[in-house]
Parts: sequence; C-alpha cells; structure tokens
Amino acid sequence: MIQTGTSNLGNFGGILDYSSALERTGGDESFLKELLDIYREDFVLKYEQLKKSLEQKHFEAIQRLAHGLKGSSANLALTSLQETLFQLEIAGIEKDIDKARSVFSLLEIEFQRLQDLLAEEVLNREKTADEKGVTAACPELPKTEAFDIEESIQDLIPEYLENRRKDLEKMAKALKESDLAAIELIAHRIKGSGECYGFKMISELGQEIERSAQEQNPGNINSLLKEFESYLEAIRL
Amino acid sequence: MNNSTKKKILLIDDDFEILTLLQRYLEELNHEAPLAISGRAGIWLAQMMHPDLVFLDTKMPGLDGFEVFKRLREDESLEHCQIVFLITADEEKDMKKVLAAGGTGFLRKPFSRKDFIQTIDLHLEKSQNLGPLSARQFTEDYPGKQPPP
Repeated sequence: MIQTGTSNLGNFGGILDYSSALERTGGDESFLKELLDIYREDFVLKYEQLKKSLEQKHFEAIQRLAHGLKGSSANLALTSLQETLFQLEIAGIEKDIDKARSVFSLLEIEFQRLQDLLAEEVLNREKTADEKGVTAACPELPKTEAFDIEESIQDLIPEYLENRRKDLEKMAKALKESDLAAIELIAHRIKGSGECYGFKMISELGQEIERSAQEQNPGNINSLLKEFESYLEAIRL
Repeated sequence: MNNSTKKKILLIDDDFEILTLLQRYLEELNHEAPLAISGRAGIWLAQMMHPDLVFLDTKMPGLDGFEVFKRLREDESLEHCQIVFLITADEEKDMKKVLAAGGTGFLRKPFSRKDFIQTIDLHLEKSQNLGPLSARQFTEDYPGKQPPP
C-alpha cells in the first residue's frame, strides 16, 4: 500500500493527492486506476480541441473545455492539473491569448508529469512500495521535506521562487532569440543563489543551464528549462 | 568569535537575491548592511561609508569584481577595509587571482548562513591586521588548499 495521509509521500509532488483520490473511490484502487485511464483518454482528446481553440482564439471554447477538464481533475484529486486548468479557464474568460498560451504550455508539462507518474506504475505497487518509499519510485519529483530553509528567511521564499519563475520566462524568451549570453548570466545567478535559499536543485539546474549556454547547446537548454519549470511548479511549501 | 560591535559591511553583487539574503543575516547580527547592485554603485558607497568589510562578487556586468577591487585599493582612505570576494563553486581558478590581487579572502557560492557568519567573524577579527592575506593566513583559513606561489 502506498503511504498516504499527512505524509508528503502521498502527494506525488502535487500531481496526485492519492489519499483524497482513493477516498473518492471508496478505497478501491483498481477502480481509481480505471478512472485515471478514462481521464487520460479524455484529456488527450480535449487537449487537441484546446489546441485548435487556441489557434483560432476561440475563447468561449477554451473556457468551456478548461472548465470541464478542471472538474474531472478535481474529482480525481489531480491537484496541479486542476490549478493549471483553472488558470486556463480564467484566461478564456479574460480573453487573454498570451496568458492562455502560456498556461497551455504548462498544461502539457503537468499532463506529462502525470503520465510519467502512472508509467512508473506507482499505483500498482503493493507492499514493496512501503519498503522502498514512494520517493524512490518517483525520484524526479522534488521532496519538500528535503528543503533546508533557514527559519529567519522563510518569509523571503515566496518572492524568491516567484523571481525564479520570472527568470524562467526571461530565459525562454532569450532562447527564442538565440541570446545564449543572457541565459548564461541568469543561470549563473540562479546557480549562486538557489542553495543559499535552501534549494539545492535550483543551484544544480542553474549550473547545468549555464554550462549548456557556454557550450552553445540550445537543445539541452530547452530540456533543462522544462525541467526547471516542472520543478518550480511542483514545489509545495 | 562573535563580533558584538555594530559594523558596516558593504555588499556588492549584481544578484538582488544574494543581497537580500545577506542583508537579512547581517541585520540579525545587528550590523549595518548597505547594498550595491553594481560595481560602480559599490565603489561610490564604499567611498561614502568607509565600511569595515566588503563582500564583492567577482562576476558582474560592467565593472567586474576585480576592477572594483583595484579601484577600492587605490583609495587610501579605504586601506583598513577588508575585502572578501564572492565566487561560485566552479571558479576555483579565481582563488589565485583573488589572492594575487591582494584580496582578504573569499566565500564560495552557494553558501550556508553558517559559512557566511564564520567568514564575517574571521575577517572582522583580521581587520586589526591590515594587508593582504599572507600564505600563513591562507593555510590557516583554508586547510588542505595550497597558497598561491
């Protein structure tokens, strides 16, 4: 049985609140798995419809599709997808195409994270999962309990993370403009500050992005930026 | 060692996150912590405030840390001032450059609060003894590392 309850291990980095999902299926794990399979099929279909609606700037359809998927995400306690779809719904209501595009790109990442989680067959693991620990089953997910944040700077953390999200946007823009020098500078700063604030992974990603910029490797930078984005999205303090 | 007397510690770094963090730590220790977001602003503040200790980032756009250091050292009124370079972990090569330039010492980024406070204590204690880091001091401060030739 997978550990749940108050443990972070049952949250799967914000992708799936396993204990809540299981509660909604009356504790029936195989039924939950069935529902998740149906959700994935439905998501893929609606994702394509959303993509077309974005291309056509059909805001009413964006709002409707996002609203529907948000509901089914909520039913299965797919927390981060639910939040992202809510943002997309808002973008549809506000007829904000830039925001809608930006949130849509996040949606793809969030769904991929769910796919990865399910591909790990985490839900099928029985007693052995207890022995190994769920974090061992999905090592790519950030472990909030592993953050080493000084008590006296905890109030600085939300702004620090928000600024890293802005850095991410700046680097993505610089990558489109092939401005690798700008990426190198931003990544250098990220490398220097992440661990100081208690986020070792941020420093490590900064270092890898900086190195890729120095090596003039835009493909690698693109992958690392996606990883950085997923990491920032998954942090739950 | 705990330096209970309030000191002026100037922070020069182009990364606002580092400045914010260090200022927080210094305020906790009851030190005054003016901030400079560029080398040029750092020189101006140093000349205005005559700090006891300066933390100086090496890699900054515009005037880099080494150029700022050179200008600070040219100012006789700042002779007493200890200057610690902030370098990143993969800039080991800069160690020799720092010491050859007459720097007091360095702190590697990323660092912990404990590292930072230890560095402050070490260099405020040294502020009684003017001059660049000697080979003997270097060996004491950084055991296991070879001093520059």
